[in-house]
Amino acid sequence: MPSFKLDGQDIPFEPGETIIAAARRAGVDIPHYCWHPGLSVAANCRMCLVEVLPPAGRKAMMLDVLEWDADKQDYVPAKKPKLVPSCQQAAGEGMEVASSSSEHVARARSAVQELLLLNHPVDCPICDQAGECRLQDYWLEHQGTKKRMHDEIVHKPKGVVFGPTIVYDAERCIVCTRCVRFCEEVVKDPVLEKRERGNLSEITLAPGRELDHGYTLMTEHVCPVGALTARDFRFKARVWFLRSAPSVCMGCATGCNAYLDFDPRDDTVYRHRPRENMAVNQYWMCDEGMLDYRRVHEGRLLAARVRGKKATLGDALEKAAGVLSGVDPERLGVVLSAQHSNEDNFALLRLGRDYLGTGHIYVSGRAEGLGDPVLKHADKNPNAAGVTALCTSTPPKTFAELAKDIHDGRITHVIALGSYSSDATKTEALGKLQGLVTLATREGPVAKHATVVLPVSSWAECDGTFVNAKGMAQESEKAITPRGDSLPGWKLVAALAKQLGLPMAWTKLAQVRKAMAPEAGATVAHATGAEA
Amino acid sequence: MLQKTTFLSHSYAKPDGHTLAAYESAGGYKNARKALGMSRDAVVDEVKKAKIRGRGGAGFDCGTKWTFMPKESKKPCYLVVNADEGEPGTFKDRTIMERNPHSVVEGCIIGCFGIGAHAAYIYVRDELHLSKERLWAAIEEARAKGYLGQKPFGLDYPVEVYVQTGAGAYICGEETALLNSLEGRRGEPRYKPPFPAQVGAFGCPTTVNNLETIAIVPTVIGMGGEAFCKLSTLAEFNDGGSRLFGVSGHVKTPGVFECSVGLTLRELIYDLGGGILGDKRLLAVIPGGSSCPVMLPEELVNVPGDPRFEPYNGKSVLDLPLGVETFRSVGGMLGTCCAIVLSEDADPVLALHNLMRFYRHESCGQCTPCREGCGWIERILDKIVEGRATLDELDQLHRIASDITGNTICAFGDGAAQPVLSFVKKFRKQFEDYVLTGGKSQTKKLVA
Amino acid sequence: MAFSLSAEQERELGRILSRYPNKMAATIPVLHLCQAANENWVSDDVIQFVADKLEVGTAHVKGVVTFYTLFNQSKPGKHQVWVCRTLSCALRGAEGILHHCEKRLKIHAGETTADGKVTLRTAECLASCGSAPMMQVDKTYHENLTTERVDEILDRLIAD
Repeated sequence: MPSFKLDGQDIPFEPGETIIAAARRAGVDIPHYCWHPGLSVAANCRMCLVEVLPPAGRKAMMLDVLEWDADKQDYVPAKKPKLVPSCQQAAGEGMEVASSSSEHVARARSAVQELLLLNHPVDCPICDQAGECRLQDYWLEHQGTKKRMHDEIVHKPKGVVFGPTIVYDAERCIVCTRCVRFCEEVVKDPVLEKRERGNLSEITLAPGRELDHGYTLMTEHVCPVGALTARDFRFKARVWFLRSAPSVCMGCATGCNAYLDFDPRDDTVYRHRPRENMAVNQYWMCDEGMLDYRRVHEGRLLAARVRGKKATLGDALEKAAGVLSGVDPERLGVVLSAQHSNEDNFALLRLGRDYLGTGHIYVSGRAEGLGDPVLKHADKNPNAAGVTALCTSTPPKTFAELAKDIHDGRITHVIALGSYSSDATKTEALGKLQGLVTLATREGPVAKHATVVLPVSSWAECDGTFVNAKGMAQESEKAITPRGDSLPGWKLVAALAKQLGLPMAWTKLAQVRKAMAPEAGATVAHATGAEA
Repeated sequence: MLQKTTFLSHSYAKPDGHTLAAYESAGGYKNARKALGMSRDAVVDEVKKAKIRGRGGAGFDCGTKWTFMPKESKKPCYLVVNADEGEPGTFKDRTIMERNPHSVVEGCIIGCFGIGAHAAYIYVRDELHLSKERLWAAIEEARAKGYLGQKPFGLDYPVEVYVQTGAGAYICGEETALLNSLEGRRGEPRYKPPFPAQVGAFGCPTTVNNLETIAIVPTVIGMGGEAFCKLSTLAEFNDGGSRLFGVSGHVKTPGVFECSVGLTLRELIYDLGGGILGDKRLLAVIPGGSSCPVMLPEELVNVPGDPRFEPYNGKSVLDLPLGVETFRSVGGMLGTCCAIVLSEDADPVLALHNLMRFYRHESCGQCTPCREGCGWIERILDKIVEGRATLDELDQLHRIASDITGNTICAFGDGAAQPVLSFVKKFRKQFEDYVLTGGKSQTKKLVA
Repeated sequence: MAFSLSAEQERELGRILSRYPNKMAATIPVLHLCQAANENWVSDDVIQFVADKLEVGTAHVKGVVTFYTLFNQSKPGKHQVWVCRTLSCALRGAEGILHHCEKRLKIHAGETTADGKVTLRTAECLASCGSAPMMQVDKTYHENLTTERVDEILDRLIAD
């Protein structure tokens, strides 16, 4: 691979690749606002300017400027090299590039930074971008000068509601057009545009439109400053109190790589945002997915229930064992869940198929929805492929088939993971069962009909593996401690097995994973997790 | 040396000078017919020999620019003629469009042939309604005569010429902004590379030429590149032919004059412009549109080591022939050759304030340094003029302008910085007086 | 009410489209055509109309409309007056001409007379530097202005 030198460091590059992109791949961040690896080049912020040294024997193109000489009390002519934006300049073999090592670059960046803050309200205490704002980071890193413009700033519209999810503050906007380019290039819905010109420029909506496509929260995410804020996150948390767990989105079978941002002080998840994985979601997530973190806290089932009444976990496990013991394996159905991890599903499969001896394996999950050409999959479950792979020889039967089998009296008892029914019209059949043990995270039809309900921790509360529609097994890591009385699904299965006197003595996730390894099939994909 | 020519202006004084009849009676369209009978290379060669430096301000050699076009192209090629005349002080292209539009149409035919294009778009700023009208009329007349269309002059080289209108944006005079505007977009400059000859209008190879540059091409074909070049006294500076010169501001007879290249500012101001209003002293002159550094009559030419400058060294810049290289060598810029003259009655602080309001208004707003920097400069100048500024603020002006210079996508940033750098350097005392006296030092206006 | 063009204007639109290899390129000339047909301003309806005709997004059209100063985002007076105030004109008395217009029309630059007859604006360089001071009235340039000449011109506009 050809390479160039950046501040003396060798940086390999693909032919045609820009300096900034190659540097990023090598782990070197050249400061920038408008450039985004997933969007077209705009080259408007001028923060990524670098000095490309002329080839040996050639002179650099020099520009005439002025300096003030305090001794002479007069201006003196000065020269400076023409700088180039590293987001636009293609790397060349043997090219010598000075970024952090050039005084001219340092001065240019300091000037850009000062000019970006010139008409900025600097209202950081009431800005939700505070703590993850490039204006803040770069002021320290590249400017460091006091304010030299003491007049009233240019006032522009504030608190403009762009749509159901996003609010715009034109005074904080640096007009980098990332949001405009994102809508146009990724979503293919050019609903945003720049309006006016010069220092009156701002972002505007298409007439008669709202920012209401399926990826509106990404506009906030790509915004490098506090111009676009998400109504969902506004005034809820300070990002420096949040921690991030690498997770996988549970919204659909795409399995977008994400971060769950949570406050460890109160074990609350505040935000879901994309984690870069070029093989899955690149840099993006959809609104449904980004708001899906709410399922960690909303509609949760946090205590065990026996025949509709709250129970301790111990009592419930005892009752559940009672429901299941002595059932004819031919009348017992096991319902796996495409909503749950491989580990939870594997544990239940091991219990039902290998210890209780039934061959009636079903799968439930959320009903099919709408997909799109960007990221959204019609299958609204994160692990359908994982469940199918676990079942090896015979694929699991559908929820509709379960309903029919119950209706026909072939199945009288069920142990189910998850509370989604896949098909709302078929849930009544569950009422005919003689016994139903449900291990569920959330309230739902399967929990509603259950004889015994055992509370399962959500994906945010435990590690788990999910296989997306492309067959990639991806790990999602624990963010917060299990809510209420809930336990990870595999732990509850192991406890139930113990209650039934079966030798399933798993106490650690590693044990489940070791047992599961030959059956899980897919390999684990590792994400890069870098920030754009 | 003052040497008047009439290649473009021969019919300026005639009421019907803009018509086909008048143009043809002066030999019009013979040169396009001749060019289409030549080889493409031969046409480009003549234009190269003519050493026409682009008349739009950047001064790039026209023939060389044409050679950047692909010899063979799978995509269509375009000629785009820049008539977005809006550089403060510049009003020469308008005279051609209004009074000699057929020279533009004929130039388009030759230009298209020279670069391998079959369509030319003449981008005219919207305000120039008479210019657009005259150009369209000329196109229709030429088409009716069979000079345009599928077989111009019966020859097998289709050419169409269209007029495209702007809508009020100085920046569209920048060639890549113009291309965006032509494509129906916001007139924001594009970064280069790719250059227009590779990716221009509609993603196709394109040459963008200033309108005067195109209008003189028929003359070049008619008299031959070398002969045309020799009209100039600056041929050894690769600056050939004749061109339009304009002078405005504090002169007795402002206007546009066609002369051989090699004219001096002194000749332009005193001989053609009739001298300074009220016979006052000349304070300063901006040689070629507001983006050029302002020059003072007391500035002397000093270019040691170059024999070509020997005759001028030690003389006032007013006596240096107006050329791309000559002015670059003395820290100036030729620009559009339309000079703005300030007499001793003019207040240079107010002049810069006037210009920076213009640049703030016309910045497209893409690049941070220009978008915010022009606004900041204007604001400091507002305060200086109103007597509210501090010396600290005055000392920001050259710094902001220096930080705009070279740091933007297009040359607008440099164009906005040049007036600031040159005015504060050459008139520091006047600026300081404003600050120190709270604006009371202002005794003059802009009007003479 | 939705905006539409007359049959003749539609034909003109067709002629405009025939000049370009794609429809988007016609954005600016078509906006001029529609603005002239809409009392000299570009409403959201006009934006929608142009976007539909040219098969581009309304955001694109709005971005264009707001970039160029000659597209009016609100309805101007019956006549539009632009006084050039850039340096060459300023050196020849543009400021005085502007003040005279303001006094005469009893409005400030940027405003429209109460009767809706005249909108007064300042303009940046209109390429008429050699015949300064000057102003543009609708589509006509008036050059080498004096206050007397300005009075004559404005009188006619006010009477119209």
